[in-house]
Amino acid sequence: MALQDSYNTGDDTHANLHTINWYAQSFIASSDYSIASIKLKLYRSGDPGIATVSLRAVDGLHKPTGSDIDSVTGTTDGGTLTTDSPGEWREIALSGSISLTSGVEYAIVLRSSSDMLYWRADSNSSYNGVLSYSTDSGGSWVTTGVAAYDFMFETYSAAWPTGTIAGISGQTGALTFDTTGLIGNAAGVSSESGILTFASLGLTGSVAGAGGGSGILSFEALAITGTIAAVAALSGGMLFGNIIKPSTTVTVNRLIVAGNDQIWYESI
Amino acid sequence: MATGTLVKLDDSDGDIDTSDQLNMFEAYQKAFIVNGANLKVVDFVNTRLTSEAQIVANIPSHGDILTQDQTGLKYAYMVVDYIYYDDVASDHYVYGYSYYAGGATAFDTAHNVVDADANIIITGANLSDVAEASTTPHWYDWKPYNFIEGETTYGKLPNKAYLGCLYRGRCVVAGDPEHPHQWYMSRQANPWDFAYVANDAQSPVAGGNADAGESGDIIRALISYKDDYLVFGCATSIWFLAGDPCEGGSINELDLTTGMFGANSWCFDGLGNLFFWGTNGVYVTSIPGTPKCLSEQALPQLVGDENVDPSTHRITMAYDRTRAGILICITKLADGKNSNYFYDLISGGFFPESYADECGAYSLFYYAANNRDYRDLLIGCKDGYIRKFNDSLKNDNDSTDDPGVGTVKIDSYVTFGPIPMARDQRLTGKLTGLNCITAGGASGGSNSNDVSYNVFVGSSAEEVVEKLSAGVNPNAAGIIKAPGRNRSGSIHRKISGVYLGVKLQNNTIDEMWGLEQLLIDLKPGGRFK
Repeated sequence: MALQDSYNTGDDTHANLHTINWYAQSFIASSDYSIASIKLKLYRSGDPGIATVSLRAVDGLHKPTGSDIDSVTGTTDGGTLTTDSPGEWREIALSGSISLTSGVEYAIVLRSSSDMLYWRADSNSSYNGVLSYSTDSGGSWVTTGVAAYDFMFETYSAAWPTGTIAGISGQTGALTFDTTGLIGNAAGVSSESGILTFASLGLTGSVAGAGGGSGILSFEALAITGTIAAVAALSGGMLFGNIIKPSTTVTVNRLIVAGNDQIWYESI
Repeated sequence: MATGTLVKLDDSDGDIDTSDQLNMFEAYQKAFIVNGANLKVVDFVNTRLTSEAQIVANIPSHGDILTQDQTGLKYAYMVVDYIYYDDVASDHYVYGYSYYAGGATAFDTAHNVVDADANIIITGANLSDVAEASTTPHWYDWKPYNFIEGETTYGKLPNKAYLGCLYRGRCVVAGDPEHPHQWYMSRQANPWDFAYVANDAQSPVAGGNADAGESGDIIRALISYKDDYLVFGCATSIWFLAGDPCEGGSINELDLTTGMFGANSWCFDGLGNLFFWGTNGVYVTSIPGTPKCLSEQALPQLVGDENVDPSTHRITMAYDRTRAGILICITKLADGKNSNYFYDLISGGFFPESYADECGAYSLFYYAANNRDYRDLLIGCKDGYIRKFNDSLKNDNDSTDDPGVGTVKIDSYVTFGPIPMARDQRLTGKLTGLNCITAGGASGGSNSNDVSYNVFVGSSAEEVVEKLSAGVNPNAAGIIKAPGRNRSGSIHRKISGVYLGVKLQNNTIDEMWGLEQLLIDLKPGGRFK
């Protein structure tokens, strides 16, 4: 499977799904691809039963609309999830692949057949998506009060073919791979200019720019192994802003008096 | 409402009897009241959830966490403190400390409340009310956890209690007329558990104080000293518990020759010394230590002169941090007649004082208020007012005066003597001059008003003491002009005698006085004849 779109760090809270309480996370497809599975960061309390995921279109307010796209869903047994609150990444294979269009916003919709399924979320997210929830089994959706929240998710397309991928000599343009887990070599066409880019995670192997070419060899990558060093010596200072704050803990003393068969207390 | 404003707790009206002995102590942000059969709690910290259905399954325990999912990632949480079922109202109350996440700000009455195992404790439909102590403190009976008549899962408090304190996280009660020698301790950190078992170090405990083979003494005071000792002031003896009764603690005698007068006839000074009214007067002791009677030399007949009885009098004591002394108030309960003493910790002297009957002290309390304007020794008076000493007022306040105003003159005096008038007690001396330097007279500070003097001489010390006490027929009298040192402060009339006594006094309304120095000039006289 190849990772396509995701928001997968910074979770510090959760949503509690149960029967009629559904939740959804929107995302904008970063490219054209066929989505085959979705990973969600989940945990449980008790036995939440079967968890079902699907994709839906969104309306102008980024809320799910309509029914499940292509009637495709994916299920997983919530009873096998971890009970630890940090959760686990659970991959849910879809019953069929759905073609996503680059730049189009979709919603991942999750529900469970019973209570106590938890979906991890970031309460102060910078992700460009919208979290919404429904209290009537997906009939209507609400985004009020959760603007800063986003769920943890990853979308995967089917695995890329193995073998060699090469551009056609004499052509200009970009050779790009929207892929994770690329193994092997990728090389730019000699004497071509342009950009050799990998929108990639976990790239293994070697990557080289074309001899004599100019441009940018870049990785939009996380988890780069190896050494990253500045070219020259850097100088500067360590800056910390706002470390010491006044204590917000105060001790309040209050006078209580008993008299005339009554209790009186000091209003603070 | 501003700090310093007292608000009546309406729910408490008529639930306590302030004509009976009543004590209060603070624990876990609540006030526990022991007033005989009226054992009550004023709760300033908890949220109260009201369930219209009795909770019969998955009953939460003290310390359990309940959760209310309000959807949209809003959660309300509660750490359960206390629950009880009101079988008259058919409501089950759950009290606990609340906190919130995800934008929730309070429990609501729409969603279920569940425990950590997702069991529904209160359904949204049955959750009829959410009340915050920050709005109005909760008022309820002090009973065992989830008290239901006939059940003893969490034990039982005594039928009555008049004494209470907090010691090492345990609520301690005593003063049960049915078992006057017995004390009872709750479980540590749990004021609702009085099931006396010996299974763990935090278990509730009950006990008495006595040497082996003896019945216990009647407990009159419970005094907690930090988390180290619990002192039992009894009728004719004093004991102390060292440590925790369930973890190596021991009960020891402090003194077997003196007891304590009553529940409030004691106080600590700033050095941790315990002052109390005992069998022979005012005592001081360290804990542990050997009590020493402070009043036996200065006031040897104190107990006889005051003639106090616990059934008719109240003795309260408090440490006055501002004036560095111990205030001892003896008040007759029936009419407020009072006799009080200020024991000066610096000079070691006893200063008698009395107040108007309506101002007789029923309770003393040093209030360490956050607002420094209210930080002072408070005196709960017979007329229902709370007063404090005001150094800027020249007169006393009584029930007819507005707060901060005084119209009752203060009669104050000091006596010196008997003073030998010659080096040899077989000889007489002559008083040739007396000068008094009063307070003030410089550019700053307060100035004393004029002071009257009376001089008494006699042939024996006891004669002078009697004359000073009677205060009549002085050998010389006059006015010393104030403030500072004045020429008119000297007297030149020669008075002969063996012993001399001087009384300085001011009892004029709207006046105050202070003494810096008393100078007496004496010359040898002849042999005493």
